[in-house]
Amino acid sequence: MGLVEAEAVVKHFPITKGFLRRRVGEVKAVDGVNLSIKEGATLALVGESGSGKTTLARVILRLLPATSGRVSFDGREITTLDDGALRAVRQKMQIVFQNPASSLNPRRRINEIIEEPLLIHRVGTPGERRRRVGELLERVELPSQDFMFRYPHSLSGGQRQRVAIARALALDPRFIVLDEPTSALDVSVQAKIITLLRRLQRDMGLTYLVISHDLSLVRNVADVIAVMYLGRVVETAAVAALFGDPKHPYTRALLSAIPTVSDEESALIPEKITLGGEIPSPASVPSGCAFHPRCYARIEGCDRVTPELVRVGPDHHASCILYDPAHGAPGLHGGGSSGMD
Amino acid sequence: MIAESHPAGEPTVARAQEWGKMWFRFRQSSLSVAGLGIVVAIVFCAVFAPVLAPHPRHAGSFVDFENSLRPPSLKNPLGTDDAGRDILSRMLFGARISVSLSVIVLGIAVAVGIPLGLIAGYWGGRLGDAIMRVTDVFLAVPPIALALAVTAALRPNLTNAMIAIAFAWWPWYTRLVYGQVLSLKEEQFVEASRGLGAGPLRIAFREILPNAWSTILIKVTLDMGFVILTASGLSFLGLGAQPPTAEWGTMIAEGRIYLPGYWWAATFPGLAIFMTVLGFNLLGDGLRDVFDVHIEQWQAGS
Amino acid sequence: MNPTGPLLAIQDLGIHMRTYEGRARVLNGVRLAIHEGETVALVGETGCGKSITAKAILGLLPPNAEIVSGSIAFKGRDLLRLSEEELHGIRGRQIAMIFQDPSTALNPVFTVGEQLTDVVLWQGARSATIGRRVTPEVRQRCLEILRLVRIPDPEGAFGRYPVELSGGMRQRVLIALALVGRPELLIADELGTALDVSVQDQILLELRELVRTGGLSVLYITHNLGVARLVSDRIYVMYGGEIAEMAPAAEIFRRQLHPYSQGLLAAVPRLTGTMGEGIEGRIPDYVNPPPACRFEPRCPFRMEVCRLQRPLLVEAERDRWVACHLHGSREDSGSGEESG
Repeated sequence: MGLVEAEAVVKHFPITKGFLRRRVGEVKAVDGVNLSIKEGATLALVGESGSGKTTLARVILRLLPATSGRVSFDGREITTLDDGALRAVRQKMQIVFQNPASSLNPRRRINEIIEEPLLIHRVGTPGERRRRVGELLERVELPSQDFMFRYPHSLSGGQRQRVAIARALALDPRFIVLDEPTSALDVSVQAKIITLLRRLQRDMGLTYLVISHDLSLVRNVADVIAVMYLGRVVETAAVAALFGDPKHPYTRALLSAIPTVSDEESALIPEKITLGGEIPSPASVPSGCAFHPRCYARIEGCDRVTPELVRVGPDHHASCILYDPAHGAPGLHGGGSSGMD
Repeated sequence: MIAESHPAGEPTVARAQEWGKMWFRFRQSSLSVAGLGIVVAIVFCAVFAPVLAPHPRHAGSFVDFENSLRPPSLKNPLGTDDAGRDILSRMLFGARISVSLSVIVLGIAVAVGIPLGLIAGYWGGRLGDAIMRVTDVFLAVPPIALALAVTAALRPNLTNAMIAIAFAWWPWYTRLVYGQVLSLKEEQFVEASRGLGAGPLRIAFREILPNAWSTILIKVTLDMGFVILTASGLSFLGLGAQPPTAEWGTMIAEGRIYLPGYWWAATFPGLAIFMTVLGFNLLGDGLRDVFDVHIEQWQAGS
Repeated sequence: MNPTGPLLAIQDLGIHMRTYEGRARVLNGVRLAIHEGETVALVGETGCGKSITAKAILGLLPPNAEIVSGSIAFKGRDLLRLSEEELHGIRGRQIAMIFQDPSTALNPVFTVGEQLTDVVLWQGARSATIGRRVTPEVRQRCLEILRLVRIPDPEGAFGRYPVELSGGMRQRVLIALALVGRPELLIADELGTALDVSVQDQILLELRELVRTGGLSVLYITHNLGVARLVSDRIYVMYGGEIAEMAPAAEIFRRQLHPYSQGLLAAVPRLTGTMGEGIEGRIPDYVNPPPACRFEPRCPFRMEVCRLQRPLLVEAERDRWVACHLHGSREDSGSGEESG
């Protein structure tokens, strides 16, 4: 049993039209996802825009209500908690956003920003809170005296993200969602933030859910990876298995598109597969396997059958008709035939 | 607001630096500085009118037909009107009336408009819809026409003119705050605060409103001039301040029948209105440059 | 390689900006050359001066910027000495820019066709193009360019508004807009980094092909080393408003000469499962920059001389230029002319 469990989570947004807000359709942002994150581990959600990874994370934190399905934290279902009980759980689940320039209120000082969660949950006396803010700043390696009274805009991107992390740590959480935590930062700063996040995880026994589109980064921070496409998990495996032996055609294509900086890396990625077209809108998900219109390995039946996640190796699952025993599972050889560069 | 055990002076230094930066951005445009100069001069005149005016008694119902309609001279730098009163003195007292009227009108507009906009934007729902539909109805009528209708229904005097203008003005602030709240609501720091467990009141007043202040302040500055213009318009039509009150619009109305021969009686009050509107407009534009975080051209690097 | 000299040659470019804190020395003796048919990447992190360099080439510097030294020669003419009118004739025609953000760089109220034909009609025209007729030839030319950037159904895309297109399609339209004027030099600012990896990859490869077949020269401005490796022939690494290192793309990723390039490459997360710790410290303060080498305060190999004498960009090895006291000139006879 993981610390965080998602079962058959669905999130649909209605599309309304006109003055009467007539319902004309729905955006299937998340369409039946199961996840389990072990305590102290890092799970990475990987996918392109429109894959639903961000929505899923918000549903898990209950920043958005689920359309159906269950999310539990530490064995307790939180999808149905009332506001009061939710407040208590919220202390233990935090989020760090992508862009620290917009996740910190520009009109508040650093000490006020970090003190905010303590004030909201009425923790400690003013003196204790002040000491705590100092401690938190030290913990994210910012000298507290220099930074306490500054405004976010006078900080560099990396320093702002450290402040956002300090705020997330204020209530001693057990689980933190990191939503593209370094994609707004330069690589040399990214490396420092990742080092910090790893150290914090080790020292405090934190559990992370990382949302990222950067596969090279994910390779270095995650224990388990779930690849999403149009609201569904198409493949999930431990890092080594996913990068070493990707099964789903979409995963293979994604890996092949990674821009690399060395020949050793180029040798690790699959032969170049250029996908045609772009990810369709989640408001009009293709029939059958949602990936089939872009898939270079599609066969008869892909447009009709919605594949389930099936076991393709130890702790390795993929949802593709090629592995589905019900369809003979012919297997995938050499990365496909058409659409190759 | 900062407790005593913090290192003394730290927040003050940070604040002084913020102001310094704002002033730097402001003075990049000489027009903004000119606008500030005009506004400071007008407010100065309004505050010290009794001291500055060569003939303070001329502000009221003083009559001296001996000296009526004298051209500008050393004794009366801007000439005299048909009752022989010093125009400069009356204009200085007119600044008093205009500025205080404008401050009161906008005070009411802000006090009414902001809470309504905040409710409509943040809580929405049926109440929000109702507020915004009423606002839209008000916005569909030009403020001067609305003010005219109200003053026509009441007795024409300065207080009623003020009430009429405030009545026509608040919906602009509701609309402004509504729009600001709708966009700020989607900001990530608001979501961050929600994720921490903050309640709606805390989010509305601690996260959203502080970020809307600068836009409101810019609008207030720009509106100062327009409210003065509207009030003078009402007075000119006889629906605002009544003679012998030294109000700019009233003064133009009284002086206009002597145009063009005795041009000074109507021209100088007209110029005063013109300069005031111009000054507040330039200042408002300057403040926009200061507060607009999207203008990053003054930052080095990148 | 090219007897007539480079297409674009930036020499000793220095730019200062007036800021609240004082005079910021944002570019300090930048040197850069692009030869005909060559793709060059200018790589660096936020605030290194790469965007200012691009803006200087296009004559689009902000009002508080001041050019204090140097020249930008395009086909032998110094762009910094040209009048606004003469620049107008070069910008968008001989030198075109592909903007970074496909969601905001297109005008939402005009169709793709209108925006393209506008550029074509404006070619050679002095006044605005309002009311000018769209001839069948002009239309044909626009459709051709849309086909060239691989927009499926160009006829359909011609009449569509930008919002009706996906991010990748909009990026393609932006490329078409830059190409339709038949420029000789293309400046691409963070091209594709706002797009998903699979689309980014697709577009970069297509553009690389277009550039090869069309004999275009390209200057890529990017912070993404992987993208730079994919597209460029030669790479300039920029730090603190100066060129730190220049080398052929194939070589610099194997071995970096400048300590900053080394630190930067080491910080990139690798698929091999290694990731460096990043570089200590932060970018220099441009108002009070370090006196000699601007990287000195963060450099793990700093020496006494690094605080006393500014390292010049010299050819340390064949075709490899570096500004660092760890590396002397190849011929040890001062700096020769740059050979692309």
